[in-house]
Amino acid sequence: MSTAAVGVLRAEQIHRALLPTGLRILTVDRPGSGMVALHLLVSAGSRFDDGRPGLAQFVADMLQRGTRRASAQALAERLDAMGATLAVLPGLEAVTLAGRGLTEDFTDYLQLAAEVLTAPAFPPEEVAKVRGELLTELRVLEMDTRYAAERAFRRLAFPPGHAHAQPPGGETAVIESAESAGLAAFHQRRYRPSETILILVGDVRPQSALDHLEATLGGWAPDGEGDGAETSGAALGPAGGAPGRDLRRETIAIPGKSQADLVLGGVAVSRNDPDYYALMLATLILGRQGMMGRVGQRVREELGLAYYSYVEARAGLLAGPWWARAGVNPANVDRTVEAILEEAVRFGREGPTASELDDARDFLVGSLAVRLETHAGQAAALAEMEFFALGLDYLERYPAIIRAVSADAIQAAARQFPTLDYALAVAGPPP
Amino acid sequence: MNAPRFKQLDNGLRIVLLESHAAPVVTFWIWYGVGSRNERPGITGASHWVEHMLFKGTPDHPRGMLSRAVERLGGRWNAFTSKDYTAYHEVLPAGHLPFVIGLEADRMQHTLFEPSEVSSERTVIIAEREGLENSPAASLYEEVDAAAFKVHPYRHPVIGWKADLRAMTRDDLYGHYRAYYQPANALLVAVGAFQAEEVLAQIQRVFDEIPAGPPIPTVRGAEPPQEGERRVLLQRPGGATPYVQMAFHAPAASDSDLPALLLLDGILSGFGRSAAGAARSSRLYRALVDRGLAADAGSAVYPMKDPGVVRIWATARSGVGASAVEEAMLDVLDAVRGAEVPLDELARVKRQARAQFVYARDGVHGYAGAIGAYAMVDHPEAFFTLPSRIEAIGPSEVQRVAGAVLDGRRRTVGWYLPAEGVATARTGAAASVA
Repeated sequence: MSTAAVGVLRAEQIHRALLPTGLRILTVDRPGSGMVALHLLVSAGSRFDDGRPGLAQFVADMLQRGTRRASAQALAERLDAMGATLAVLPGLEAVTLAGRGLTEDFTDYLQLAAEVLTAPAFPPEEVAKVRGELLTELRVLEMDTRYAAERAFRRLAFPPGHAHAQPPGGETAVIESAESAGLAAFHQRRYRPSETILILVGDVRPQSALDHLEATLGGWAPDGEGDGAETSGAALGPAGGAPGRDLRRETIAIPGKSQADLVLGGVAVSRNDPDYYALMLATLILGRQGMMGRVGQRVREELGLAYYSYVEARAGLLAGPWWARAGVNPANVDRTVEAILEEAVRFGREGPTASELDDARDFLVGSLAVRLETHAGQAAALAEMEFFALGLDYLERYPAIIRAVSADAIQAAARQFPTLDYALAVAGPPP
Repeated sequence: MNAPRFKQLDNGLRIVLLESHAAPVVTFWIWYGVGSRNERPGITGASHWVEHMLFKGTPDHPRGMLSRAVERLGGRWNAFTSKDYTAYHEVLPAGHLPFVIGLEADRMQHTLFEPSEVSSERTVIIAEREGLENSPAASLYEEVDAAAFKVHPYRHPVIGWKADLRAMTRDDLYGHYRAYYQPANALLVAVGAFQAEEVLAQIQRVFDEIPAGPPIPTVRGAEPPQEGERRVLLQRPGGATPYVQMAFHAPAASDSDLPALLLLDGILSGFGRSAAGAARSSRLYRALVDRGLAADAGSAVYPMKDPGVVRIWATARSGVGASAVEEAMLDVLDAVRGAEVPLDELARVKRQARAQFVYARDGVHGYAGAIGAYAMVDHPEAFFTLPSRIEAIGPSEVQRVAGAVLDGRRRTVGWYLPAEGVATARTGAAASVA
């Protein structure tokens, strides 16, 4: 069976411009929709925290809390009066600003987004408010079994200092001590046109969009020197696991909980690694496809142990975690771990069946149309293409890329899932 | 986007079709008028459990083949259960509707309830419930609803009480399925790149022959008027900070006051923001988050088949007590009852509503979901007429509805307080895990 989904977004439909400042702009015209989706990606994620986990998130959360021209409340009123949205999503490698506005407000919406991106003021009273919100969120996260298990897993699977070893929610001491000047300095170093990708998908003609974007952001020229993309070498660390560490198991007891959440696995590959597609297909078959792949079939469907049970690989510029996760009754943790490991071993030994391979390929190729259905879906796909330098014709090449991955390559990738030297973190009620 | 087509078959099945050719994608939803509203003590959670069983296959569509078939077409599918309804939905590349139409007609009639599958799903559902129990906010929500409704089955959680999940039998579930999975209790919504005439013919080919079946059991148990504030306190370890939730009795979705109620919700926290947290210019955000009392705050009006509740909630900032949060919430509610909303503020919320209706059309899947959610609690055209009904509301109507609904005698207040102060996690090596 072959479902060709290409033609949804071809290279000639994507208008790409590079401003002299290094800002990259991609637009797609969707006439008649009456709206635009904006997707801004800045290489200013937590991997650039330089050993201060939480700093990048703090900066991202401050973007809409007052600029050199407008107070936090004035910005909120402008955005809400347009009925527009602009969410700030701090990540490990990049910070994303994503939202939607009506076409009739396009220029005002863009102006507002540009202002929060380029000119946040970090007013001390707003810094204090955001600090309080972040500290509360962090305390809530620390009592969350899924978060606690993930945080422990990262410590076990990645060496100290590695960007992926950091607690995703940051550290209390960092958030408590961050001040306006330090936040502004991080912004000045990392929020730069050369580190930014702007995607606009919607009911605006490409030339008109580009003219407005050039007028709004063409003059963006931050003072001083920025970091290069790879200057945070210390934060990169080695890509492998944590060699020589004896203890690769950890339990976290949190009173008042009914369920235990577990995270088991190791380290994936980077998005640009030659083995990326094989690993992605292996992950799909082992723990995503259908009712969550072989692991879900065994743990949930056959044994009835978990409501959720899946395998996931995070691959960015850095190789991220490759983990199996499940939420189970505390009495069933050992059985679940055994079942996951047995499935991973068996998959590595046998490789995919012919029908599993066909299912996985057809799903990835066929589901492109659904992925690209919305403005935001297209914008996210374009952001990934530009961030990882995949080329404007990537979506046209994608079916051939997927169909070229062999069963042998998938089996070889599956064998890399750690079944002996794995890290395991479990968070749940005290025994 | 064309005008919607409405149709009802002789067996009572209602159909809404809407062509949208913006992307080569189609979506198909089937909604059943059954949820925890249709449950009684002893079988709470049955509707949700039946939803799980519909993924276990039929003689013609065996279990493993269902997901494979949808995914090999490049599609995604899922389902959910609420207090009022259960919905099954697929989204897939254009041209594949006949397959899912046939699949849903088959699942409506021939789902297998193998005892072994019921048994393994019992532990899955108990695990799902235990995952919810890990969240103090989710547990408090359950406590507040159980207190706000003394009689009406809205007092039951959709997931069901744990004792019922342990005790329910295969026959309880099968009986529930047979009683409610009938054409006269169902609604089909399809949106996407298709010709409506063709799709209607495809639907009629497979659904016309399904008999109307026995009458759907009616829900008894009108909630008596609440005559004074009710309070619940949930106190256990596992949380980091207090949570405050309020529920005020509110009219059903079919009430002519729904548009004003939705605008009131928009004044409190931004229009249609329930999942995203309060808009920063909204009253609850300014009074609670901006003043440093809460880490987040929000409100929600979910259109319900029977009179439901308006919900208000906040997560106290570390070091702030629940009483200070509650006091600030009540000040906001008193203000909106005490004076008309300024015209510019109402205009801002109406503008948010207009924008939300434009965004709703971006993507056939979400659009069909919104159409169906209103159709199930009101009538099939309800979502399409909502923008003009909202536009017609003035500030005096918002104030009148605020006065009637946000009445202190009709509210239930819930607090979650971490037991024994704020608990902390302990870490150790996992000696028991191989």
